[in-house]
Amino acid sequence: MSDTDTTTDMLTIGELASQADVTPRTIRYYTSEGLLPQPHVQGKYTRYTADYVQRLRLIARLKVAYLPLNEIRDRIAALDAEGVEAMLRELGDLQPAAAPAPESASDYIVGILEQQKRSSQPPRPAPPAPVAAPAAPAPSAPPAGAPAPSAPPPAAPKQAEGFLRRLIAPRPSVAEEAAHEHWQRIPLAPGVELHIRSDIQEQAQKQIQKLIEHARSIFRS
Amino acid sequence: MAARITLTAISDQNLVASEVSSQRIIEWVVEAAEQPKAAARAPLNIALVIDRSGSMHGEKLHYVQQAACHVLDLLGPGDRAAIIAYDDTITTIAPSTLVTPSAKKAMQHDIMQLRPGGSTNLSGGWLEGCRLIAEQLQAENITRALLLTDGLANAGIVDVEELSVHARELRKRGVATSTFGVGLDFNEQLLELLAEQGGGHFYFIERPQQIPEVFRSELGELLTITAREATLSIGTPRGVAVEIMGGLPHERSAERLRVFLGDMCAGERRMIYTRVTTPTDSVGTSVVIGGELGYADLSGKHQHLATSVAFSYQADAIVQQAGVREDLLARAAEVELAAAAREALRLEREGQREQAQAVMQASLAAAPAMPAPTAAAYQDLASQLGQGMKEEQRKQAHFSAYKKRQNRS
Repeated sequence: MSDTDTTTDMLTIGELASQADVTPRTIRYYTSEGLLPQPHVQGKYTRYTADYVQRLRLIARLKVAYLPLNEIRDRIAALDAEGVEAMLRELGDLQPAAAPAPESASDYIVGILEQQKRSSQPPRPAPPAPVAAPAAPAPSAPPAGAPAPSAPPPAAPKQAEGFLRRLIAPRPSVAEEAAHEHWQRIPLAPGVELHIRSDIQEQAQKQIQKLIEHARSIFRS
Repeated sequence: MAARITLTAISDQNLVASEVSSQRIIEWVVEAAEQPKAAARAPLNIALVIDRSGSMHGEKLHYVQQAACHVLDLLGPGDRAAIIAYDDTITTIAPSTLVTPSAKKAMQHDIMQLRPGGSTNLSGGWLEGCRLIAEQLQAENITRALLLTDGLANAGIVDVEELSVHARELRKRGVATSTFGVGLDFNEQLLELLAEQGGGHFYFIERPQQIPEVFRSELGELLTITAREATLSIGTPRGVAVEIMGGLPHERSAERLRVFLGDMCAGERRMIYTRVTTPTDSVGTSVVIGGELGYADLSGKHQHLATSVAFSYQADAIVQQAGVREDLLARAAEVELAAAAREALRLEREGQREQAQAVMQASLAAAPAMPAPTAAAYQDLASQLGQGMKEEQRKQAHFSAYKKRQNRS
């Protein structure tokens, strides 16, 4: 976190709590669990920069999506302020950390299944410390077939970090993607099955039901 | 449709000492009256979630198929049934369907086509079953998933804690779960937790031949439910500690302890034990512990009953002389020993035999004078825990402790 000389734009824990709609106790807990970076201590008071508000909003947003705290930590611990904003935009729907109204059993189950899909995606690697721009020149001749990483500009380390992370984040292979899909098997007759991918199923429910009834009647006649 | 439910409570003694803290035990009794045979019943909305993993080959799957067909025979056109078979993939044999005569025949036919397959995605099958019945959930119907397995969950979500949280959250949202473990290879700790947190029953089925009768028994219960999602809410006045005994699922807020009892059938009696620790206070004052039973009747309407137990403060010397209901203390102690046995069996299952034996022996030492046969049985269990148990012993001891803790008759 960059130090600022002026303390006017820094918040006390109470101010931060009020702006982010959480309790000071929660802020201390998140800090001890590594979800928030250690804040700046000036004399008696702990001071928080304004971007902590967005971090707390991001944590709340990820909690609403059923993510457990250690997973939230893995995703956000190494993000800088820009990264936090970007992820909030990506998730959409910037809402205050209000507790969601108790939802129906159906919605709860959908939430579990979505969380499973997300957890089964390979996490973006989060280096524990900001990665410094490589001092050495780019390595000679990369191995054949591998994508050639270009040396990042020797400027601001934070830019390099984001850039490098995008380069090295593994893309799930086709096989991995297939394994994470959820298919339903519906028997139509002995030895005959209909396979439906679960995300399609919700849209085409009525058509699928018709198809099943018709198919079954064919095999029974 | 008014169910006749009663709530009463008594304590081992009603005096508490003014100069020192006292511990008392309250026995809460919830009873649902018998119903005449002709009485209307609530429509069912169930899912049969059947393990068809490789280990289910042979007579196990055969008896499960038979049991599932019997269950359908007991249902009528007002009831809904969904049937899921799972191994490492989830197969919907029937989405939630009204059990008309033709639908019944079709579903029974499809059940008999099941063949055993791969590994065990228990969570996937269970959650899919819950999803199908959740869509049909209504205030008037009884929504429950019946989950059967013969082995270990080794695909999908396998973490016991995580699954038990889902069971609890689903129960809170109206979807209950009962579990059926067949044979010796399933995880009894997992199935018990799912059923307990899920507001249903757990069954240990030793021999496959018993499967049909156990399913009939569960169906029998479902068909005679008169009070749904019963909850005993106990007031915890300032300075008074109230704890639930026997490890029943519960929730605590600043002023109340809520114990989840699940659904109750006509003719059923539940006994719940709480330990109360009173603070010091002046002679002549009293403290009242109130309990309120809430439940939904068959039309989905909420009903309440209340009762209370009062403790009066007296000098300790006088309190020591007063009579005590020893039989009540013995009943409560049995429930606590059963809870300790569950914990000890969990440790033993994980290989921590010495600790398991220690837990059991510590509980025995702390229990008031038990009838000799009971004490002897638990002493035997303690030595078995220390030596390590055969699977059959472990499952039988676990199931026995489960039934004692639930204390339903």
